[in-house]
Amino acid sequence: MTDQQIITHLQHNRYSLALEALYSVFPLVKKHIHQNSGSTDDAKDIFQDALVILYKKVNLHGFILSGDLSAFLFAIAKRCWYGELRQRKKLPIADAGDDFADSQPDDADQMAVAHAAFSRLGKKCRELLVAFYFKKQSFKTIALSLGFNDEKVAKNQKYRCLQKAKEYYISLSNNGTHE
Amino acid sequence: MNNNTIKICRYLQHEMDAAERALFETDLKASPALQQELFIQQQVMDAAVDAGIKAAFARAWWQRLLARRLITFIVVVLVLVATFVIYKNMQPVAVSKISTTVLVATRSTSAFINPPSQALDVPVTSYFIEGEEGGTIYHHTGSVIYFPPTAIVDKDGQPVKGRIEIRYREFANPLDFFVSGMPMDYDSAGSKYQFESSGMCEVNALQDGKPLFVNPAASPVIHLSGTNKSSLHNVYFLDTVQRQWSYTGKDVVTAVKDLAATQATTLTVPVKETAMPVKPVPPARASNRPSFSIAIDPGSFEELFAYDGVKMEVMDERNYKPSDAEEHWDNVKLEHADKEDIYTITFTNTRRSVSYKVRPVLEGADYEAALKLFNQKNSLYKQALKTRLATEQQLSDSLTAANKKQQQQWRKENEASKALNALIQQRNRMMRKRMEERARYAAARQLTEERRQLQTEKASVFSMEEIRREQQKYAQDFSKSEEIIRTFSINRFGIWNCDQPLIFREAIPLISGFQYTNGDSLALKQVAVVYKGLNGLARYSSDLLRVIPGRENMLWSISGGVFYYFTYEDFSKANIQLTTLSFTFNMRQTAQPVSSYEELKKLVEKF
Repeated sequence: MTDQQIITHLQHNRYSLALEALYSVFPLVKKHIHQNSGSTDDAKDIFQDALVILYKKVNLHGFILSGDLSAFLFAIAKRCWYGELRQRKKLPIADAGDDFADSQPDDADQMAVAHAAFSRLGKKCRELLVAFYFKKQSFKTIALSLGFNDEKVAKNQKYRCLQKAKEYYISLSNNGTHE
Repeated sequence: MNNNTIKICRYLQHEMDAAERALFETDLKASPALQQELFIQQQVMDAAVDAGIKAAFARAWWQRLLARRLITFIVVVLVLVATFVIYKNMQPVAVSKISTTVLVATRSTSAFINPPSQALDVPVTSYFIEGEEGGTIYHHTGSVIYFPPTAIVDKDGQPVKGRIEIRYREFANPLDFFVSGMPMDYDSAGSKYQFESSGMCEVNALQDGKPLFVNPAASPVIHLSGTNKSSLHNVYFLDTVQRQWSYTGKDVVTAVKDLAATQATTLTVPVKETAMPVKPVPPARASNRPSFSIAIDPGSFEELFAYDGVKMEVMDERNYKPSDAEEHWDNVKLEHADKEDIYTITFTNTRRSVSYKVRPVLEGADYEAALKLFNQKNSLYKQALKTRLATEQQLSDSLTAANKKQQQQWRKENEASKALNALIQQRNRMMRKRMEERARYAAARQLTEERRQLQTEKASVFSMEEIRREQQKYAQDFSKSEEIIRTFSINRFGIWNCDQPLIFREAIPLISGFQYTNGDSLALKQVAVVYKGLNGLARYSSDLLRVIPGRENMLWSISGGVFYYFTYEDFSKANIQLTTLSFTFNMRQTAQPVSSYEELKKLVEKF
């Protein structure tokens, strides 16, 4: 499968097909993480984080791939792993050095705080926000699938969930940890 | 709830009108706290999107893992099964080439007639005969089917009168076996064999749409034309009730090339030469004629060498010169003359040569001793002669008897050959006539085609090259013919097959996947593997194929009328080894569904 075909799969949300092609990068990621104090589980998490970033990047308007897609994904994964190591207080961010450095360190930290805040939400809140922001479902569909009485309840619930996540975010930022 | 959350949502989702939006942006500029809140809310929303993406990939990851584990499990099971099968197949004997076995049929449970597409099946040709008279059918392949009078009966066993339709078709090559769905495997005692065919045909008789039957007392005879000379092939009938091939016996294989030669055959019986006893010469007493002695070479004149003191008495004494007896002669030559006891003796030296007619004579005691010896030898000679004559008579009698027997056998064979020869000659005349008609028709059609430029009908026009090729088959010169006629009589209507069961010991099980040439996955319900040089094929309904590494294999399948294939060349490039466990075949395909048998035949002939 060519890089362009993989990108097309990602742009059309064909995760299985894209993953099938991109999975060849996973052994490299795993080897790299093993060599840098990580476990296989770490490798799986990082690889999935890298896939998320790749997905978002290829869906950005005007995305143009300048090199090899596999190398690009590997660079993202390396970056994610160094970010993770830094959070674990094992490595200064300066050591991450590679050509994938288009986001600032602070951005990564703040995004990590947001992820942590989101993960603290209850299951129903997480499902609701994913259904609305990722799956782009209507409140009517969300109400049906998550068992809310009507669309209005679902909408109000979404605001409550966002509010709760923001509170977690502020709390985590103030405490200086988001584990 | 913080009211800003709703406002920020509405702002980010473009739900505000222009006035409200301008007011919010003014507030945003003025309030760093609101800016911070907007940033956090955006981060949380992004985190929700990330979580969604991650969940989607996680789901795909687990599906992949599950599929891999399932495939691994299936592969392990298949490898175990394949190993068992290979081990089982290797048990009898390690044979590097295809080995052959003649078998007794048992039940076949899986194989049966299953054409991949009805539209592509081998076409049937209808012929008509008169029931009371019988008839002879000359099929375009060169086969001849003879129906004796009253060969066909109805369901009550009564001879059928009137016009009878004979539906006939042949399956001559792997393509025919493939499109007809003809079962080409054969189970015997738990072992599976593949058939190699030297000729297969289906013959049925109908009247008014009702099936008819063979009269056991007047069986039709099939003379199946082919090129496979093997005498290892047997005749099988496809029992559609029992769903199995039934062994029925052997066919008579006749090479057309030999038919002409058989006519000129004459009987020759070699006669063994035996040593004849030498007749002794009676001794003659010497007279007054001049005589002389010579040394006789042992073994040259046995009748003279037996006697001691033999002298040569000159018969024509008037020509005799006594001085010749004094002259030195370099060479003396003794020869039988015209009479039994007369010889010609010739003396030669460098200057001249003289000859005399002479007679061997003896004198005195020598004569008496010679006479006694002659009587003994003459007695022995007579006895030996009597024995010799008796032996010769005995030999002659036995040779005459053998000669007579062989003459009868040859006469019988010659009559059969003459009958088949006449049949072939008649067939060839008819086929040549048919070919000429076809050639005229083809030429006319071709002319029409060129005029009309009807590309779509071109496939149905007989090609002149094809006609020329077929005409060669029916040439009068039998000595150049490669044709083989397999003759057998049939006791039922249906599918008859001259086959040989084979085991492919070199074939390996291969877990196979299929994909289009663009890499997309392709699902094929049934795949046939054709092994070059073998007039047969093997069909597989599962993904476990058997291929022969290092030999030319070809894969065929039909799905939705589209012909999928993997050529000999493709297989060669695939580099499948004995150790290869699995392989994904990039199947070529026809651009459109194939519409007819002829179209498919033309395509396959290019491979």
